[in-house]
Amino acid sequence: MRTRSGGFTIVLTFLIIGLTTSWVLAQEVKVGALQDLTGATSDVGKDEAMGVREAVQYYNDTGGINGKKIRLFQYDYGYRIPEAITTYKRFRDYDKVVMVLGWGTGDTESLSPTINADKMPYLSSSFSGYLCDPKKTPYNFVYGVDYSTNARGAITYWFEQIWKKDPKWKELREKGVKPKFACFIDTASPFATAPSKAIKDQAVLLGFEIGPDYNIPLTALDTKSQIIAAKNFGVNLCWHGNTTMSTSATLKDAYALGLGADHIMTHWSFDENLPRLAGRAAEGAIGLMACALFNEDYPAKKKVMDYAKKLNPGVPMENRTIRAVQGWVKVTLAVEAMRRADKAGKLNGPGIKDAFESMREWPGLKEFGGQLVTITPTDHRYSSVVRVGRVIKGKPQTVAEIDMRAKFPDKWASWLGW
Amino acid sequence: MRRLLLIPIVLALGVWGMTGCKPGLLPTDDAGKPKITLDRVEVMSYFPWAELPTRTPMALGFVWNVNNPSGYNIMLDNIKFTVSFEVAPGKYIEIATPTYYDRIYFPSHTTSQYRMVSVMDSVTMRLTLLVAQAPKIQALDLKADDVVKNWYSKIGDFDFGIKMSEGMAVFSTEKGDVFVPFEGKFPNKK
Repeated sequence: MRTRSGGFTIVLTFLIIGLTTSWVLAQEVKVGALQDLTGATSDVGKDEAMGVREAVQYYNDTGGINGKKIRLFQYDYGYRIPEAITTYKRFRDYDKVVMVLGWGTGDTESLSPTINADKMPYLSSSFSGYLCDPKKTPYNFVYGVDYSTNARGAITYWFEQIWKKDPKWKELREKGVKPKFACFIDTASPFATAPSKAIKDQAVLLGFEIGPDYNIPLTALDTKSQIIAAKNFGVNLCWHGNTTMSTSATLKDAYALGLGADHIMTHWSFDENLPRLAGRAAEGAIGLMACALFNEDYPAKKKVMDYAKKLNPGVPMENRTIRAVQGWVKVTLAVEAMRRADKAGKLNGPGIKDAFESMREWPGLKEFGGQLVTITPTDHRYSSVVRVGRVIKGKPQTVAEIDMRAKFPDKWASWLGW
Repeated sequence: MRRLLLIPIVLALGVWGMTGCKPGLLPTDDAGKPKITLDRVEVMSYFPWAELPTRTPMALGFVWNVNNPSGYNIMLDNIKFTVSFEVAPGKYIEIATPTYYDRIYFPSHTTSQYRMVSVMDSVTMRLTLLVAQAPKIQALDLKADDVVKNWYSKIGDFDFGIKMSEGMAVFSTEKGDVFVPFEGKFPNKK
């Protein structure tokens, strides 16, 4: 009798402990993250990945998703689309993540039909305009102003503030000539080409003469032949649609060969490394910004710094950039959506999608220099406010904010999905 | 009999209390001091060089000694580090950042070995040299293709230095999460 009771006690003990343990493990929220640490966009990818990891740790330290710990699975896919697809399948089938933090345009757009069929919320670092139309991509979300709106904002800023006012262009202005515009982009890259149609449309709207696209590979170190061709065209304004490394190489060659044009660029070209790499050639360059620069003043600066030191003590603080802050913005938006979904008792794909789409002028990203977030079931463009920066005396800094919806109210709705 | 039934209930409540209040959600830097040191690097699988742009894999194993000096078990939750190859005497280039999420327990007062295998390849290495590491390559006036080929020809003898930096392991312990930075160098020539 004693032996049978003892056995029963042991079995019952293990059963209860097992059930308790599985309850505890179930209190995790699994999230997958695709990063580029070694590929064609690794010049901007590594710091973003560190920011994502640091932000997740911060949110875990401060309560997670309503008490549930976030378990992050973060992998380098080297900017290779097949690797991204394979890793996504692992996230979906084995890690059982509730959402994915994605990276590039090529892989995000390639995965889009799959993640939408899987009802997997996917918050990407690609802000391709295509991903913002929920009629086509209902489970895709972005954490910055979409590429097309940003590009339209950049060319509009240059046209109004530089072309119309700067003494440099007085002579041409007074002659009544159209400013000449050309794109310097990796013409084989879905990321670099994503806003081309929109920026050229805006150029036509503003009265530019449009030149040819000059192919600048993401790995370009020498762009002299493209610069010479652009010089022959007589370009006044160059759009740079790649990442910092190849854009800085292009700026250096443009400076060395006396191109004489002004430069505007995507937010993936504009960061603390641009003047470091391009030196004087970067002076005056105009770029877009998804959030605050790493060392700029912003309300969340202290925690961003603290967690950079805590999680990555081996990386010198002077090497950290805006990309890390972007990582925080990305995770902060994802955490807010997951918290809302969890509160509603729907911490799953459709629940997280609904949570994203319930945001109306949500101010949570302002502490990182982001914008008020409004996402609706019919429009996933998170904001219409374009933040413009400029390299002044060797340092990138914010110079303007343009609300493109307010400025072009009759066009705004028709620009969705460009 | 009734007393016997009470035991599992009390035990379960105890476990629940401990795990339910598991301070993985609290900042607890001082919970323990595990140490991670590099034991060695191994070529896990060797593939003969094929000229670029053909992709040649390189599979390296990084064997770490994980020492748990504390009086309690610790669980490795995730671990990552950056691998750099020597490109010129004393000059290193970052190649990859292996990251693992396997949960493994390390008993108290033990040193265990943990192997992380990272599969790299020549095309990705070249891309890294042309993008993220391009300023260093330009400053040294080197050609990316030659650098990569040279590494492949010498890896069998480890005839260049391999540095592991920016290492960070996150352990879960009964006293909270512990962050352990680590680094290493191989061959460890004095």
